[in-house]
Amino acid sequence: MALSTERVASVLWKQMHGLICVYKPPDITLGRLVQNLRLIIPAGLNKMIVRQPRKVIRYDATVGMPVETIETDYSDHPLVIGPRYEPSEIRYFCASALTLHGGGVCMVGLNGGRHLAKDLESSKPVRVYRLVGQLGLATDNLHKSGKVVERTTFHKVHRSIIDSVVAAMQSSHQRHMYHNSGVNIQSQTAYDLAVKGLLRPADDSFPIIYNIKCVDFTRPFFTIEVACINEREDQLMGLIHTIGLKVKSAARCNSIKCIRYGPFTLEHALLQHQWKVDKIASNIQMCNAINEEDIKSGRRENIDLVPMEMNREEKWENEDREDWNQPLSSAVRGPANQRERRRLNHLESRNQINGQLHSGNEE
Amino acid sequence: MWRTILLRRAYAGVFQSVLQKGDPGFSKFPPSELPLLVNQCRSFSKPPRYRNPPPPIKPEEPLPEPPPFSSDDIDFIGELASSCAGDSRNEVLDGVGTLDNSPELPEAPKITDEWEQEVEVDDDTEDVEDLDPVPYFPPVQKSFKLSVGPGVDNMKLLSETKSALLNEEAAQAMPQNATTLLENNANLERILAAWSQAVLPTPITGPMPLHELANRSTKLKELVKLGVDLYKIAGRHGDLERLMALDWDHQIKPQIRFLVDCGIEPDRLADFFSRNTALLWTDKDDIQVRLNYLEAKQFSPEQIKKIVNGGAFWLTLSTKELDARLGFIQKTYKLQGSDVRSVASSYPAIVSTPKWSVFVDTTKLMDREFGFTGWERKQLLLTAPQCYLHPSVLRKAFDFCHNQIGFTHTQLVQHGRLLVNRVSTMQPRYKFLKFLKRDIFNVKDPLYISPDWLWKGTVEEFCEEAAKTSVEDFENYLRYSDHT
Repeated sequence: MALSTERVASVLWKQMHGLICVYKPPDITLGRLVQNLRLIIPAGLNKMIVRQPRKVIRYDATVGMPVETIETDYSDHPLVIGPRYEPSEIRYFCASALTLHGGGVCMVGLNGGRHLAKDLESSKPVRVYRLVGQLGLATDNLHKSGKVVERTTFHKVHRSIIDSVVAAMQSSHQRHMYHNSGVNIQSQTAYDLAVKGLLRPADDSFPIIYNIKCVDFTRPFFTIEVACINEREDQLMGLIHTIGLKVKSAARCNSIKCIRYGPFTLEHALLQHQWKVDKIASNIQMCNAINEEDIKSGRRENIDLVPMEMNREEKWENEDREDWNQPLSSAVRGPANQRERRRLNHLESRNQINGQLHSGNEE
Repeated sequence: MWRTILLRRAYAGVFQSVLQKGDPGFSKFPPSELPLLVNQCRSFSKPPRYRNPPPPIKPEEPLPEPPPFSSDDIDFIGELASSCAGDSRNEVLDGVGTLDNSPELPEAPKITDEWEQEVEVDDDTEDVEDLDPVPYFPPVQKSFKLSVGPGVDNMKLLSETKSALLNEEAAQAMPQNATTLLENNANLERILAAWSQAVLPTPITGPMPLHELANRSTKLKELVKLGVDLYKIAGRHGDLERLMALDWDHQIKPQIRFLVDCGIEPDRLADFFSRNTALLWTDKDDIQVRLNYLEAKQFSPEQIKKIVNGGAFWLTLSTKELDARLGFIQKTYKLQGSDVRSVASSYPAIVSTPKWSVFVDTTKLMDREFGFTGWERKQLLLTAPQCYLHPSVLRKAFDFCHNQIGFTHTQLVQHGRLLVNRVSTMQPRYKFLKFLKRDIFNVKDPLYISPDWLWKGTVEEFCEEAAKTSVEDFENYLRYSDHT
């Protein structure tokens, strides 16, 4: 308390711009998490030294010589117009696929750093999850919170079976990935693509899994680690469910935990009891530095994976052009912003539908 | 749909009866009337419905003729808009004066000093004595709307002019135009009324905003120096207006002195006033009666002081209501008089809470949903009365403690504060203790750990004394274990 009274709120407020990496506890919605942050930060700042009310100069000309007095301006007093920092002043953007049941690393862009979070999300960093499944049970919402709808035996399931199932899933996803890029996997272009790094989907419609492995198996519980892009929480729970079906049993998801979000890992994440203004400020500083390094590393300029539907010819027509090493122009790659892309896709599809309708009416 | 089916069935029945018996006398309706009936039935007589009905064919009618409209109207409005300048107020007045000669037009308000005085009388803050003589001017009205009356309705002419008050150039043409157009246009008086409203300064409407008031009123300044949150008072409906009607020297100052004499500590005054502003205008006699009531009910002076300092709403609660609440507590929990007194003095907010119905509901909740017996409920009221005012927290905490950890009801009663805390604070600690196999809440066990450690103290204290580990271990567990 003594420390916090000595600190100046405006100095800390200037640091409240950027990325923050928080540990999202499970069973709390993302909105509740952000609401907590929005309440904590102004409350902490208001306890520190805040700006004093303005002074006004009054001239009193009624008494002979004009008298000049300096008074406090009560229209600027925090007790009159409310506290200096308010929750509504804090703007945010959440870059996370977690919704309710999942926990772990969650990136939030605060105030001036919202675009950092947006760019991070649209650059499609690889997210790594740890999923704990329980064999022998199936629930209606695929999570342990749901109602049990099926019970099966699981005594014949061994680690080797789960390993093989998981390896098959991984290979099929990787084949899918190259298939969608429209390149023959045996060709030189495919090799060049692979040299560039991970193939990232341009669209966010379908999830791509890069790596699955079984980390732990103590029957009936098994833990798998998934590295993926474009996933959703229910899709991850569905993954556990399908694994359960493929080993001729049933499985439900006991916990979902994001252990890595691009360059950010669990060791950067702020736990719930650490959500204080000082720690948030230092965390923002650290995360911004990591984010800059990530931008400089050139990961985000990687070639996108374009789905079959998009105009592949335009991209692959001029294979032998000189500036091949340069990142593709935005015209080919589409807008960098994910939301913009989504909007354009939506508009396109709507126009098509309208066009069909229009032509139908004319006939 | 069901309606048509029912009707069809009914008619089928009628037909069958007619066919079987062959005698029209048996059926309700003679066969000759049946087709008529069928036609009268709504579902049969209705025309078929289409999902996309064709547009109704309208006979070609000639469009109605537009009302007569002269180009003078437009010219007049344009000139009026450009010419109504505020600086040439006297000229404008002259124009209005000329118009006053005609018997049809209403009298336009005159710009005099009396008019401003009237405004001050209308203002709410006029009664307040301590307002500084600094005049308050509302922001200048920079634009106005002119609407033309129903005669030119088809046109719907709405012209909006910007800062016409400062336009001096076209001001001279005004009176001539007004006289010439008076003969032509019947809507002139409406236009002129709108125009006079727009050109003349509008009277102050609505109360002065709080930040303007605070600089003018010495009373508010004093309250701010005391530490009262005025923005909280302004957030509640009607409190600020009532406060402004009070006088500092004759009403508020003696009231504060009286409250301090009653036993309220000066530190608590600001908090009390910002939460319950009614303390400032409640009658002293009423408050004295409430204090006398407490004395009559054999509350000790120390208890009275605790009560007065603990509950912001206690002294504004009527004696009748207070008596009813204390009676309710005594009856439902079967308390003795001394117990009621200790409950009321240890946590006065439970009696004086504005959300009394919440307390009443929670007593039912404790019984029916959580299954506490009468004695246990009573003990909880004595040890942890806070849980009765926050049922949503209580429900989650009870679910966690009883159903997940497995505390018995007697354990929960012994450690009643468990039911006040949030699950988000208790759950990580419990999981860590469980991971360390230190979740031994059985008193007979030598490794016993008090359940209070789930909420008590800081994280460092918990790690040192309960978990016997370092804080880093605790944090690493929370980060890297699969089950959190």
